[in-house]
Amino acid sequence: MEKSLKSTGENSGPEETLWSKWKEWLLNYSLYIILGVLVIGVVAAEPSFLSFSNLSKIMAQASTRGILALGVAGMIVYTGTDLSAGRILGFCAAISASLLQSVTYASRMYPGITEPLPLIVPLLLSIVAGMVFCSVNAFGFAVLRMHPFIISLGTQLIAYGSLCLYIDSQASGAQPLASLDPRYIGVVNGSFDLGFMNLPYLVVYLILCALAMWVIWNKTTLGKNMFAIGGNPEAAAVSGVNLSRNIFGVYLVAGALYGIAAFLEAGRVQSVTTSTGLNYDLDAISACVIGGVSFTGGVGTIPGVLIGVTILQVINYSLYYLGVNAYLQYIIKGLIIIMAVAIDVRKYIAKK
Amino acid sequence: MLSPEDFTRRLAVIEARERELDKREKAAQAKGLRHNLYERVTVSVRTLDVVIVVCALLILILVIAGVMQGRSKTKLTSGTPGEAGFADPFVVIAAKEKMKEWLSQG
Repeated sequence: MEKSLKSTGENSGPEETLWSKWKEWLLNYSLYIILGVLVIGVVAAEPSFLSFSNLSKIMAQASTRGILALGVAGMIVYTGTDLSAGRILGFCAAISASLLQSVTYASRMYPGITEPLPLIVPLLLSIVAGMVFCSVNAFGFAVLRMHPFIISLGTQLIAYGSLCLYIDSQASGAQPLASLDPRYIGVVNGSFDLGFMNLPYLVVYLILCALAMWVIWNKTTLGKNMFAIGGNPEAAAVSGVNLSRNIFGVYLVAGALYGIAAFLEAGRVQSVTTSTGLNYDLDAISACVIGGVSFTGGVGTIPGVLIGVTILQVINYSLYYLGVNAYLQYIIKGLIIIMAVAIDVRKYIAKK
Repeated sequence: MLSPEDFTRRLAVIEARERELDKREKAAQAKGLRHNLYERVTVSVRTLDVVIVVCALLILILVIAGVMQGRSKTKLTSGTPGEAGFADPFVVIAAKEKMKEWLSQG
């Protein structure tokens, strides 16, 4: 930061130094200031916005995208990205939903399933499917040395094609996978009554996944190596870190998270179509960027990702609450992402 | 505990690997390849400041414009004679219902 100030030659006097410091602060926190103004605007218009029940609703909606973002964040720490997360989620959600359709529903995908399956079976299958897709991404990135943007773009299309084929393979044609098992819906959409508010199970699942990821990132060799490789791959390789094995490890963890998110998303929405998961990857990447996971690699925290996800959901909610046109919301969200990246690059240049 | 021979052997392996990496990195630099996305950034801090400020202003302007547009639409469609400027309570209830529906669907 000081370097950048010196280079621009703005700290010639004490007043200017103070102004420069203010300017730095305002620019670095401009995104949070705008979001603060937005929230104040919504609260002024509708004071009930700040209620516990609203907060729990926002968090419940953000939960599946949050779990997805926890997976994507690991790849961004590697200076990579994953454009296939949303479509992988869609495919895994279709697997979960198709296996957990109500056995009394006549048009179910698998009429052969006459007894409700244990919930763990579709969950595990969903996780395995997520891991298979992510291992393809990892193979392209770690072994073939392809850019993660390109390999995940390819996987995105493969996952989407697989999802469409799977949904289209129903005897009754390409219809949404609905009429899900009530047990499944209960496990996903239920909530704990805390007296002053209801805590949705979805939020609990998100917290559990975040805790697990926090342990992986901060207390395991895989996590330490992940930051080492993201920060400086050459130094990590020279220090004896096996790059390919670690990249595979992080991608497989991400795949497992996609599978869990997919299982929960199918139960939350209670219907899976070919458009399930559309743009979820972009939301997850945006949440990571807003939450301070840097594209320069080697920088990011789990609380940051959670904050990013919450902020993004609050933006969605606030803009809708304020009655802002849906198309305008896309433009605003796009500007927020550009701004977050500009702030990130600015910090990186200042650090250099 | 490593024996001196093992230590020397390991050190030689690491040094060889380091030399190879140095060579590879120099070759990559010669070709202009970089691992880091931002290494290619050539813009100045001042330009980034302008981008951030312009984005911030655009966001605020669009939010304000969106809110104004939303309100004027509500007034036009829901205003009742004698209650100019106030939204029709039934429209407000309908909007809240829509909001609830949106919340439940995500």
